[in-house]
Amino acid sequence: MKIRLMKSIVIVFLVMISVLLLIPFFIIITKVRLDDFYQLLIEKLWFYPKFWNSMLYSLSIAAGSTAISLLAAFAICKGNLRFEKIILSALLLIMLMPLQTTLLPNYIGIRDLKLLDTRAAMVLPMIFSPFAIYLMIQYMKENEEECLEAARLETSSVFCMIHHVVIPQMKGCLTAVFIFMYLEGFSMVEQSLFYIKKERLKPLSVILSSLQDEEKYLIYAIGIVCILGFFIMNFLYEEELEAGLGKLKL
Amino acid sequence: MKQKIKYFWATAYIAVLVTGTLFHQQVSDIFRFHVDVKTMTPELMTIQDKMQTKEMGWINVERKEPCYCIPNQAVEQNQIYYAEKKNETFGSYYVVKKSDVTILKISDGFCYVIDGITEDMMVVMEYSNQLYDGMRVTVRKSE
Repeated sequence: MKIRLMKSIVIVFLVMISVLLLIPFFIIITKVRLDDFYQLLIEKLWFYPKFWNSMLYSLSIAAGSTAISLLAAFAICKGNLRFEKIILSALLLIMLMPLQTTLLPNYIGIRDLKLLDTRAAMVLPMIFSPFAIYLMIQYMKENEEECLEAARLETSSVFCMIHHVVIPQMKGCLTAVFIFMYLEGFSMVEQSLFYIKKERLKPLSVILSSLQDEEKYLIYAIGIVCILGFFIMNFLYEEELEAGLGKLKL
Repeated sequence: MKQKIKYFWATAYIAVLVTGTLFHQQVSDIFRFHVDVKTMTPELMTIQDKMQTKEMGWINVERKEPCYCIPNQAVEQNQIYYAEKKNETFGSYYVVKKSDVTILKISDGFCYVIDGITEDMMVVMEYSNQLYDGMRVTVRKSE
């Protein structure tokens, strides 16, 4: 009886939190007008370059970090590394660091590589994401070892093993990492403020600061257009996401 | 079927944005109220001007003044409109801007402007509707 009551209280609490989280979305919907979409999509020429910049950055980051984290996770999990635990601890430590602490070292690195004010400055630091690697490692640990051993009997090529054995087993996790990194790439603000000065290279996430007063009403329409993209991506890969995250034991 | 509907929405979303990117000007042309303007680029010329100056009493002097000659109808209360091209990544458009001018002389239907105008300005001579500063227009003919 007590357990049931506790469960009901938890469910009510979670529903309340969910409703609270939906409030900003409802505010956006009530404020936006059809004419705003017309203004944004047809009349305002600055929207499209910024939107496609955001898409380019987030898709590159998502694809790059998925590939890199898969290889890194494979090396850490299946490579019989000596310092596996130390590497995992270091990854966790870096993952827990706030973005602002890594911003300056990243800036110095990008400056020394002469990549400031380029698209690569936005993409490269985000590709090497400790979060994506950690997620991938946790998932890979749950994979069946026997399949990989069987593959080892057939081939000695690591890429063949990854292609034929690891990737099919990790589809869910790969999708989850891709979507998470896409969302992170789309909503990055600090990086675009620090690494890029050229207006034409800036993404949509920093548009708020440069919007003129008479165009401020467009932020709701911009919000809807961006949220729609996330929704569609989420609905498209809903099952893979559930399968991927459900298997994780974080 | 459910998956097909999801793919339909995803395709529609991308299609709207790609179409908007490539054809927003054509779509805008369908819905927007067109204001046609006829423009000209002013030519630099020199005009002889007679004036009086007070140097050891009033004396008549004749001076040569560089100025721009534009039609009378382009000037309204010492102000002109000029068309400015705005270039964006995915297209360009014209807007009209207002500029104060200093008129030296008016004669034979022409204004001789000495200030507030440059050689590369596209000065609006005729327009199909009342203009305002920053208004988007269609430049039909440029001379």
